[in-house]
Amino acid sequence: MRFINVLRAIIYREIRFLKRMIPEYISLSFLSTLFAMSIIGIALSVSGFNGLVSKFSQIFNISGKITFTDIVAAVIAFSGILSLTTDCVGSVSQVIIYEANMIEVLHIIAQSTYLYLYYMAFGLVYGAVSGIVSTLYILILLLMTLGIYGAYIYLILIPIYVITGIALSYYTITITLPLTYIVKMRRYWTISQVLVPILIAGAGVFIPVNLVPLFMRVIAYTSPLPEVCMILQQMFLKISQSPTMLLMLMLIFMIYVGLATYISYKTERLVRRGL
Amino acid sequence: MSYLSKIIALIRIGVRLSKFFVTSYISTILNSVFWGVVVFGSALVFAKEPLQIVYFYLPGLLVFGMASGGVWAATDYFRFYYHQGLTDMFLECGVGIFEYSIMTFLVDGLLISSLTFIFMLFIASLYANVSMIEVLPKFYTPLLIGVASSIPVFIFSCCIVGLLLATTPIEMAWINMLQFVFLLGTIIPPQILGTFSFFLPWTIPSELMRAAYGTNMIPIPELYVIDLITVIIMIIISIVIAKICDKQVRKKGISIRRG
Repeated sequence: MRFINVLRAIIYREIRFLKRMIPEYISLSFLSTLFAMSIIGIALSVSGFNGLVSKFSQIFNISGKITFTDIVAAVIAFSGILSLTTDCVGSVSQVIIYEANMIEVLHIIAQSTYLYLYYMAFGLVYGAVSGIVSTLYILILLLMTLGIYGAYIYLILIPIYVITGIALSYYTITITLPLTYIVKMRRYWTISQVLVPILIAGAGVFIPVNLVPLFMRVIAYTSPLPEVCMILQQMFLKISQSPTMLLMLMLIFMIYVGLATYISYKTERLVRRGL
Repeated sequence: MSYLSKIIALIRIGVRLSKFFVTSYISTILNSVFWGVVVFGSALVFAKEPLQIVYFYLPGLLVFGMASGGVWAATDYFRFYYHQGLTDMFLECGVGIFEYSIMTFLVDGLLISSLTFIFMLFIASLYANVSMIEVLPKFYTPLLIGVASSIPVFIFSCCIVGLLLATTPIEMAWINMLQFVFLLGTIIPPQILGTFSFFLPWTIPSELMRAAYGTNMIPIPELYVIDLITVIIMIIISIVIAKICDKQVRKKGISIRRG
């Protein structure tokens, strides 16, 4: 089976599964919005409007004028990383481990195609689908905050979310494959339960990454998240909008594609030698 | 068997049972701490006076952790153990949802919530750029009474969610959202919510925790009396709900989503 055929099969599967996942996506959107609004609410209750605006400008080193609405819109846009990471890392790791250990579809996949082609296609499709579906709530919230201009902002943000989703899926594949086939992890949910919050907390997401304590940043630096958050923050807050940002994003993407291909290929050899 | 020795036996069984799930407990603590850091870490950075956040919002975290722990204990009982075929065995041995909540409150509730609270205080001190001593509670009597009063909150939330899980085919995604109801009155203080929050029984133990930092709304002597009444009411309601829940399960079985 060629890559394009595997891709088609996985696109069909993921679209069929979407209906089943609707409650999960609603829950993710609700929680990401809750987290974003809690941050604003807690800081606001202590600092007041002016205090929050001045502290925000000071932290991000914004020279121009910024309003409270801009801050709310920025926090909403950054919250997309929360739902995206939770969905991508959680679902990709669980699908890989579940397929390998429990429902025994691994043999069917291995008979039909190469495993590394399957994992590469899966990462690509799931990352793209998640990049769009798990961040859809941002469109609604940005429309409510910024009016029709919010839709324009969302269109600019969508490619960043999609590329991040794919890079995160490949990152999860790189981490999960050795844990599944070499370590043979049994409590698979611990990967998503621990990795997701550590990555998000370490990457800062809502604050510049250099303000996060070093011991928390260490694990996050293995993922594309700190760089993606920095790019998102700089682009959204108009600190820097140079094309090098997009080039950097593409470079991160390529690194994780390369890593995941290598690990998938090695896994393929291991599995075919006798699983 | 007297009632007290039955409670002690249940706690002993719960502690022994928890030894099988050490990995899950560690991952739960890490999960709670780092999700807490995402919210409080960012809020502390944005705030002009970060210590105010520690004194106002963080004390409710322990009670919220207990309430949330109760939700997941009920989920274990009616979903995880159900899939393992153990819920029926528990019921045959006389361990209904109320007994199960007593069995698990020590590790699933108190230990995990306390450790999460301590780790959160430590990380908050790093974000606020202050020493650990400054974020520690100032008054220990209300703190101890608050911690003790949070146990009925665990039992109460476990019984309520247990009834919901036993009688409806509710999906886990909704349960995940439902647990955030307990944010009202615990992490979000009555100063923000208004007097409405005092109708929520878990607000009073949280208010005692806030009293440990001197940020309580109700004066301490009155708080002790209200707390005693609230604890008794919560336990009575929990027993009644658990009885209804067990009766429903015996009559109709556990309602669970198929497919």
